[in-house]
Amino acid sequence: MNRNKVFLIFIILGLGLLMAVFLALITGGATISLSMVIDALIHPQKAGIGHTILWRLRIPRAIMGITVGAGLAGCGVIFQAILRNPLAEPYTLGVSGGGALGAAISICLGISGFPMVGMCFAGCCSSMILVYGISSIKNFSNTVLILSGVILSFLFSSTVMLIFALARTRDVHNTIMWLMGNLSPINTTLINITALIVVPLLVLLIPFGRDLNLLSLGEEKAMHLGLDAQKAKVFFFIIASIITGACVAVSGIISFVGLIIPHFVRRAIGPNHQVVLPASMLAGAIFLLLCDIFAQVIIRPLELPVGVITGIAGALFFIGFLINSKDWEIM
Amino acid sequence: MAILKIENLTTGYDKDPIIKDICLEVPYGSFLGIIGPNGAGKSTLFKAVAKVLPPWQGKILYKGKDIKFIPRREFAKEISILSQFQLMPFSFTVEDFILMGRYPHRNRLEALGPNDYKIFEDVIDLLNISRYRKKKVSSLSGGEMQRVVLAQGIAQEPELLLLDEPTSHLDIGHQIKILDLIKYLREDKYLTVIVILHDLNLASAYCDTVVLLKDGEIFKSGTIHDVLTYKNIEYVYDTAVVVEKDPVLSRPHIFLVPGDALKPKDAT
Repeated sequence: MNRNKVFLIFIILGLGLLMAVFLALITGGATISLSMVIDALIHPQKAGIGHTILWRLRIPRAIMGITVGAGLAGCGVIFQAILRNPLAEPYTLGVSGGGALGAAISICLGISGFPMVGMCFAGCCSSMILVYGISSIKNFSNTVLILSGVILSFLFSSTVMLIFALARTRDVHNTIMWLMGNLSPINTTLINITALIVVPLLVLLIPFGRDLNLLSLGEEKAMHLGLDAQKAKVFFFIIASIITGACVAVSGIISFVGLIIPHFVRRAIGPNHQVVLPASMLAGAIFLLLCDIFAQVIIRPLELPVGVITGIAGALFFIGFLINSKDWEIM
Repeated sequence: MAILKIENLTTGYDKDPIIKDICLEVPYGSFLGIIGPNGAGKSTLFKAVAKVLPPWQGKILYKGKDIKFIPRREFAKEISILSQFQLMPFSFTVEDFILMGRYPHRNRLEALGPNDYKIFEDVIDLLNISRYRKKKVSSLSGGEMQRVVLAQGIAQEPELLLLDEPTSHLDIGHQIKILDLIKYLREDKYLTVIVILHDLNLASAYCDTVVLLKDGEIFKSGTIHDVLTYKNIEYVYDTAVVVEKDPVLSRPHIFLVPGDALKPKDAT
């Protein structure tokens, strides 16, 4: 692929991200004028209601949107490449199911804040460990990975249903709201921790784009071209699961970002993962920020869970995308 | 000295070995054919040599060194392995796909350099595929695809080229073109070629030596004149054949005999 074109794409995505962040900072329940936003950004020490809203609510929320959007879209690229399946997404291997169970348990036990996020992350990790354990017996074949992921998802969601059957209505409602995915900042420290885990991992993954290219040719071909395919696959699986788990733990299950963003990006710039991976991260961040802005303004003064918006917008976009694609372009 | 030496190799997938006690020496510059019926272990042998399937017993030496101890990337710098084409989930362009052949020569943080692009240009000129360099791999015809796969292998700059059925699904014209190309490349780049072929007549026309496998063991190996006799083939393939001398190449040519042709005919 042409180097100038790649450069141009990243310029566009970078500017797009700046714009989206800017929009995110001026949107919200309270009206803050543009000059106040700029003032608060330049003089963070000053006091005032505008400053508090910006530094306590909007900036953490934007950080979360960027982190989760980039994380989910990046993991979507990785799972689609290593599983060689265009339907794969970050939740395919059961990570979200474990997270949902962790959340349901903590909400019903009245746990919130830090411990709840911890429980949720533990749920994600336990599902990753189970999938790893089951598929390690069968040499991590893609079929076994996908099947064990899907079956564990069923197991976890049935357990969540079991908890629903026994829990109080209010707890059930709260859990469902959580499951829909939400970017309202729960706790600034938590958001910072998540960003500090996810962003470096994403940066670490960027040079591995060519390994994804090789894996997407099939494990055997990847080995022929000098890649230790099984090790690489396990590496990607673990890192991507940790990123997904961290995103799910702070924001719930935000659907569709990880599935559709990689498709759009590949459609625009071709399938070379060295470019697709970082470009999808940026595009995912932009998409999630914009969906979140929409979720905040559409039924003002109330707020919709952003997962509902990404789900509806994503599905509509995707149907149009499918109709407009030639068969061989879809994949 | 042999470029590849297989010593008492036994391996397989689950419990039962597929290939048993294979011993084979491949001298530098050979054009070796591997033939045998379905399930004889051709592809398994191939996977073992490609470092995809570890040996259970015995070892494989490349230039005198056990391949077990050659790191995979170093291995890929010297040996290109082209197995039967698998469908890809993403539509890479021909260019992207062939350039992946240069990956073993660069580490992850090194971008491909001018030298890699020069090799790429040479390869696509040599294989005459520059007119579809921008096309998607998934939109190519079988013959074009086979050339592109070969181009990727040549871009690796190998010394040893392993091919698993390069002519499958090709019409006779493309079969000859691809094998002519391989023959030319072997002379041009001093390659050693090992190729699995189903078509015995193609094996006879292109290979110098062949290995005939039966039930995971070497039934016979040697020159085509020694191996491709009607006795060997009838026994290994369990079918009647007639072997005659090819009028052009003076090499053995195998004629197939349909089952009912052997039944006594009704007197008319």
